[in-house]
Amino acid sequence: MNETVNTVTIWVVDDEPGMCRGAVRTLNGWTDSFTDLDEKIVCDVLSMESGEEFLERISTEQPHILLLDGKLPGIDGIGVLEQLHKRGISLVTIMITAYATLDKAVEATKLGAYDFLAKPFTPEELRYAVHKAARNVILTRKARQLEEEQRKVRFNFISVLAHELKSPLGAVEGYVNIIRSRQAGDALADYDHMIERIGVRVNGMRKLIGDLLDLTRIEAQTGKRNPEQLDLRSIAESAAELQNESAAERNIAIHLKIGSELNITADSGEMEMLFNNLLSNAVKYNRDGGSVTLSGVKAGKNIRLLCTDTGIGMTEEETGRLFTEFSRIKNEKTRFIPGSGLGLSIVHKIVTLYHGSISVSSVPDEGTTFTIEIEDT
Amino acid sequence: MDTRKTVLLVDDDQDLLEQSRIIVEKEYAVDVAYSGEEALKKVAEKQFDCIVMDVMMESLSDGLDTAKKIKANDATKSIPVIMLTSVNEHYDYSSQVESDYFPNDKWLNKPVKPDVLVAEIKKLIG
Repeated sequence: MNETVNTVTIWVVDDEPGMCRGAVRTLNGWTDSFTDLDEKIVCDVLSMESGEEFLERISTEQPHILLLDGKLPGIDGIGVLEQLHKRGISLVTIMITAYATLDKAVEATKLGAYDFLAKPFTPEELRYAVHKAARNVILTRKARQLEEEQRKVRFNFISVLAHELKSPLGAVEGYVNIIRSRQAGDALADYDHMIERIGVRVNGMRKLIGDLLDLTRIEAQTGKRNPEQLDLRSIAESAAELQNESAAERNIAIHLKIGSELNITADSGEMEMLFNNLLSNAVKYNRDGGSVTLSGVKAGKNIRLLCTDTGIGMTEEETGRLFTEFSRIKNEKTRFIPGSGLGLSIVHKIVTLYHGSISVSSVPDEGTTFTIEIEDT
Repeated sequence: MDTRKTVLLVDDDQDLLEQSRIIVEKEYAVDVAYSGEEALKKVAEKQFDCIVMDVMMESLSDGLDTAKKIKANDATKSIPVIMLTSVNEHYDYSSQVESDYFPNDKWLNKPVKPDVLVAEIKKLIG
């Protein structure tokens, strides 16, 4: 693994020169690793003799960890903590105390102290305290990074969503303007195609909003999940029924190879979404006169579903970004196929909910097979 | 044969493309492309007097990259290009980009009124 070593800066504030020297000797350049967090650190230690010196320095730079003596001449440890608290600076602070009293400890903890170390202590005890504090530093940093990433993902999602909603609106608006100003002449029939297209774009928008609601419902887990004993064959039959019209229009045959004994304990809404999206894709991206085969078998405690079509297929590069939200595969073959770009994200999220897996194999112009395993909960 | 000046319309939205076609066709001979790639192919095969390009197609910069390629090619760099952007997309492209690559071209915010589009084409190619 490609481990980077992060420097953790530690400031020691203690009026006893011996303590400062000891802490520097024990900690400076000391490396520590956190295998579970995949993190390695090296300590960089700086010592100072008074709270005043510390407070002056802290206005320009900040350490990760503070080792703070409770009993200092001038402003004492609690006073330093109060100042930090007042200035809104939060440091992972280890209080060093000669005689730990409960009152002091409570007061210090209230002011944000992270840990206590009673004098005298061994180098090992010091390192152990720093190890715990450093873990806290790393976890805080990771949480912040994760939050930042999530913020970016969310922002990105909303930007793309806005664009996806704006496109059909623009198309509808454009046709309305043309119709209103009779740009295509006075014959009503010349506008039929435009009205047809307005209908198609409005439906596309409705589908997008529906998919969006499905997706957020699955993600937020707000809706009630109702696990019940389900017969997957009848769910597949209803899903096929929904696709019948568009399949018949293009002479595509749908074959279901699911035994009537294939049961699962699952939420019926989620299973319907899963089957509907799979079959709808298999029909949409098929060739005229092609076929779709959906089979289901029990595999241990899992259910394995295979959905195979004889459609346009995808390249390896295209299958790689298939499950990303709004990432529709755009090429000459898919140009006129409508879609929200959310269907497979929904499928993926449901499969994850059932501790399952999904994989895809595809050959351009030959077809695509989705293999799904879900756990019978 | 249509002897009028030719305009290439590039947009990945078939309806927006169709709408532009209905309007522009009244004054010019029109050809269409659904992607930057297709536009480059057509431009290589045939001489156009003007290109109308949607900036945000398959990827965020597809239209912009395509226009840059057209401007970087000696054979095609003199073809005026009208770039179509959404108002809030426009902020992503610095004015530096515009003046560097498109000193003589036109940027329009979508939705473009039909008569405005034709008027802008007219300004560029007559």
